[in-house]
Amino acid sequence: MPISQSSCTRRLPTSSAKRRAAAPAALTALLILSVLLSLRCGSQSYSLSRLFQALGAGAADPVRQIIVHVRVPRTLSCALSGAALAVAGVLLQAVLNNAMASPNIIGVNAGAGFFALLASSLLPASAAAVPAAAFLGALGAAMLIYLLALRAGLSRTTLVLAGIAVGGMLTAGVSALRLLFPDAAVGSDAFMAGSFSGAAMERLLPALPFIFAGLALALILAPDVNVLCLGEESAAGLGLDVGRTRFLSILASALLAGAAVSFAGLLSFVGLLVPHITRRFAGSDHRRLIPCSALLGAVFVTLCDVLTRVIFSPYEFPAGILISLLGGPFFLSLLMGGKRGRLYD
Amino acid sequence: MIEFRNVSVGYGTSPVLRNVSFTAANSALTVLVGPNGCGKTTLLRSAARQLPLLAGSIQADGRDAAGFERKEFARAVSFMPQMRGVPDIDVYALVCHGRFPHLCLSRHMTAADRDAAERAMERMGVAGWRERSLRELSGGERQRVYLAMALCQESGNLLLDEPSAWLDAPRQFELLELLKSLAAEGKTVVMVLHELAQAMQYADRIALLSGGALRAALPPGELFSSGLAEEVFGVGLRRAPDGTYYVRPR
Repeated sequence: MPISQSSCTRRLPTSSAKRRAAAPAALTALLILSVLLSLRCGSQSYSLSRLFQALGAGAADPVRQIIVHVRVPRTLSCALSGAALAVAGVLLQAVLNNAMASPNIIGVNAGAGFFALLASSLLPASAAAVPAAAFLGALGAAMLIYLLALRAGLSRTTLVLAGIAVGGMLTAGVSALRLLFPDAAVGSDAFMAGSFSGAAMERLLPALPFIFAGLALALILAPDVNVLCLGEESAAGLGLDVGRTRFLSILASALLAGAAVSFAGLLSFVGLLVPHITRRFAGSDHRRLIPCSALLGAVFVTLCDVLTRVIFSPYEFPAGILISLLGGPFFLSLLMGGKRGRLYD
Repeated sequence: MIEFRNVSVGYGTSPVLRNVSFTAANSALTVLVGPNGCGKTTLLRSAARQLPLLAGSIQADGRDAAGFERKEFARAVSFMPQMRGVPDIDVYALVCHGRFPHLCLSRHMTAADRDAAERAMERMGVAGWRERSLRELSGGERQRVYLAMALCQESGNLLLDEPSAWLDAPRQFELLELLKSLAAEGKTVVMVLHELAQAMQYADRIALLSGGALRAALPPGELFSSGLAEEVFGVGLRRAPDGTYYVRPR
């Protein structure tokens, strides 16, 4: 006997489903626009036609030199670090079942930064060692927080506090290393704030395999992460290997956060802010949330970096500063406005 | 069929229940009852492989439950826990998660999987809500959606922890009738209920737990005449002339 239908008909507005379906295409268009803007703008701005002309021109064209050796690496660095940190945030929030989790807040970025700085100080000749060390640092910090959560049955608030403690220790370690090795390439002020002014293919390339591996793993895990979000018991009841899914998600987020930190520095807020905004319009299905967060993260960081170049042109300042300046108030308005408590239930 | 053989379960090394043996048969509604903290949920969770056994074994459909692969077990046994997440997804998406143990590595839903989801939603009367967000539903409505997910697993055995909690009285009766009809179709239904009178009314067999042990596993009529339930719960259990059970203070 079927159970009778309730008369209650609160529905999602039909626009919501359409908006969710349209999100990836809209974000892709936005990313293309941001990338074009980032290639055009800077201390010297070029028109679109000049841009395409330069790309077709010979190697001697000075504009082509600037585009290829400065703006392309910089734009790629922005887009990839934004995408990586956003997806790392999505995964950590799902695994720790905590809306406040993000690579920045629970100390994953600090772990990556500490080990990146260590590698860059001790092995100054080896550029490839930096992303690998950053990955290990990120993985170490993430696993530490996860095991603390698992062993001690930490509440959500305690988990964040534990993350702040771990992050604080690692940040102190970073400061100590900067005093000991003042000339390390990674340890500059720009690295501490998160900046793209020194972006170069040599720094980006070693991190690319980590980012692509992390993104691929995140996309493969998406359906399983959806099941994980039903709660541990329900997920296990459906036959999901909960421990393996959690470990692989942490691994993917460490690959992504570590790689991003290795060339973009300690960018904050991206991993916290972008997943929350994306959930608002793309929903919580990770098969859509992960690609949409990646796209929005890329757009967000790229646009912020463009702004840092044009606001006080020809001077510029680290993108991380603007991201925090914009991200902080925006995130607070998300917390205050709309459905209260939504972030924490 | 779920068979408990000399099962001891608990947390850490201290057992909550010792030496429990009984069989929840096919085509029957078996209800676990007992005072608060007697280990009903613990026993159900152990049958769902959520909790390791301290001793003994549990057989599912005649095989040692520990010997199943994860997904193979989920195709044989559905489990609805008391504590469940409330992700921000729509009803259809949640019910479809019930197909997870049937999906291959690509996690792609086939037409047969979608049909199973439709049938489960129809059965639980939630088909009209398919686009509604789980978070907009009331506790009782969510309960029905989670049950639809458990049905969507299409397993022969259903383990339900307080499935009627959160439901108002008419819906509780509807749900219990539905579970009875599922049992009549051949499924093994094992559930925890905290309401003794309801358990007596609907169960085919009642497992009475108390003091760290199984006190009895009997059909309601025999349990009633034994007087054991009254003793364990410390209440008066009565049967009205029309066969309805009710409890009253002693």
